[in-house]
Amino acid sequence: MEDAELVGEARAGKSHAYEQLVRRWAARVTAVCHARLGRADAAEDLAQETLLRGLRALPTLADPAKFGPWLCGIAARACLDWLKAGQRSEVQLSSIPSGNAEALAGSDGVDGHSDLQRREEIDRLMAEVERLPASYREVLMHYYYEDCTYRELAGLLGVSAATVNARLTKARQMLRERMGAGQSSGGR
Amino acid sequence: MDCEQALNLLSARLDGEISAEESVALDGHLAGCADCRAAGEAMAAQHGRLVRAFAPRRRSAAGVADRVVANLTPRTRGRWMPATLSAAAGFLLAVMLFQPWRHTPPTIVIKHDLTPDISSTRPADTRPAELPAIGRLALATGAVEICRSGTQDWKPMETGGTLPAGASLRTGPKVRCEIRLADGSEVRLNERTELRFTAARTLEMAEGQVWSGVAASESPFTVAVRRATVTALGTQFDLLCHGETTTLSVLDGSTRVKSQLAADGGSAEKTVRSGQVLEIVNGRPGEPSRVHDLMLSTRWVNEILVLKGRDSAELERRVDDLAAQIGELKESFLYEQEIRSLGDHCVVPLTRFIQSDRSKGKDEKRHAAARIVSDVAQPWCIPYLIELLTDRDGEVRSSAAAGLQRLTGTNQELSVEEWQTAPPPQRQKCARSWQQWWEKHKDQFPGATPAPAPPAAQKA
Repeated sequence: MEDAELVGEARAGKSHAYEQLVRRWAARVTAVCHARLGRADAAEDLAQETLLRGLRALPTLADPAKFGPWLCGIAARACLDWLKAGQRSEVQLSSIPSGNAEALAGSDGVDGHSDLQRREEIDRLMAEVERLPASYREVLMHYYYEDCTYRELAGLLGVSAATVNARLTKARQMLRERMGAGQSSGGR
Repeated sequence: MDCEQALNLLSARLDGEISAEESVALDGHLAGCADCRAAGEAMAAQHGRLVRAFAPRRRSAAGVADRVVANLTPRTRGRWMPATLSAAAGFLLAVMLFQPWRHTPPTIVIKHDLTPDISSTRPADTRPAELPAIGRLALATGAVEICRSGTQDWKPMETGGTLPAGASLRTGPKVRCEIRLADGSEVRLNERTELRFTAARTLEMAEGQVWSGVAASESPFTVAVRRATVTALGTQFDLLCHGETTTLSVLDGSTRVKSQLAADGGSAEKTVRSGQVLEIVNGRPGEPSRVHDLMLSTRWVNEILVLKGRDSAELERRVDDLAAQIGELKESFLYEQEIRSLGDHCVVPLTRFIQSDRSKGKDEKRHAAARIVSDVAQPWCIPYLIELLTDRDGEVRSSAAAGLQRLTGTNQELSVEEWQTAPPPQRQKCARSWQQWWEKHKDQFPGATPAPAPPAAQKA
């Protein structure tokens, strides 16, 4: 079911409709918050609040077909409010919890020294992602939080698909440069 | 093409966003540019690291959705949904004993205001105690782990344990398991598989191989893979995800595959029917093609079916289908091998195959089935071998006699070879002797159960 239909059903009081919208957009809303704040923990809280605010504000949505971009707009404003309220605006190193061990899935896992090195590399990579310039950080996070197409990203960000491609390429290039010698071409 | 354009196309290729013409042009540039080739390799390696780095973030985002959904409280409670479930043809019935489900769509009421105090980084704890169960772990050949929604911790899950919405399961090397969902659907995980159960009939697959037997329902059953969604209403299908490629095999019914990529000249939606296989590469479905060895490609589920005991109807059907392929293809020895790998679990299905109309007139298959039964039978199988002594075909009788001799050390007046040629009255007398012998000695064989009455067909 398309977003517009689900919005209609949600407005009619059908909870399953808004549940579907929540599940469909949670990753992208979280990506917006993470990109804006540079912090995963606060991003989750604000994403949660955004999704609930979206339900309360549904009657004000003029074009149900644009639910996603509208919701991402709410997220962006929530992040701005949060930042203005006195929280740090500079990007901080994210404290990747031990759950980031899941990022090592597929690795040998037998050699503890290798696991530690990989975990540190993953942590450093995420930290560098959070330090990218805003426009590059935003497109990269949207892409890796959910398998968005260029067309979907373009619609969300209000740019062309070619711009999405260029920004993703640039973001990847900057990450490679910043990761430096640790980013070997054949390494894992 | 300059290097900047090439880098953009390398990125687009990684993301599955490159057209055929652009790909050709890019390959032309790469053939003469070592720097861009190296950049492409580095980009691909980094892409893998980014996918792994964001995996916990994606799970966290799914946890956000679960917490929000859990806080959408219905104003009214509806009728109980019946606990008994309907099953599509060819599936096992599962009677689930779960808490009842609301049947009437409720009005949405937000449980409480979660506007955060902007002076703090975290609001009051809004995490629900537990999300509703949508299934349980029914069978497992080893340790299975669960990661509940909103957490990052993987913990062992006991067989029989309930599965809440939003949880992920994973299996390690050589471990397979089966989940029974509340609607009667069965989902089986092969080794090294991770699967998220987003909702009652909504799955998300990260890696590995999953077999689904979907109960018929009005609501679709969907499995999200990389950049595509597989939807079924009532069917059996298998999904194998490895890297950028997902292979869909449909054993029964039909499924619909929808790509999440923009239509760039390729078809974004495909229907795959029973007996067909389709590959999805980076979200792009290919063309469905017919295959004959679906039983072989999904043989990994046999280990789970064996756990269900000797009277598994599904195992019987699979053995039936495997036996029907013997002698049909050049690789039919593979089918025989697969049946033999089931050990004595194939004895009952093969005996029924020999005795049914399905094998009528197909002597090669009947002989092969009888040989397998003779070779793999265990003492509890003696009654089934005795049944086969009354078959109209001398080779079948002879194979059964060979199995009985191996298991009991006796032959009751007729040698293995004589069962081929002895006149009917003599054979009938000897078969009765075997039945009497069994009645007298069966207590010496623990685990033996009397054979149920066979279908009235193919008797001598």
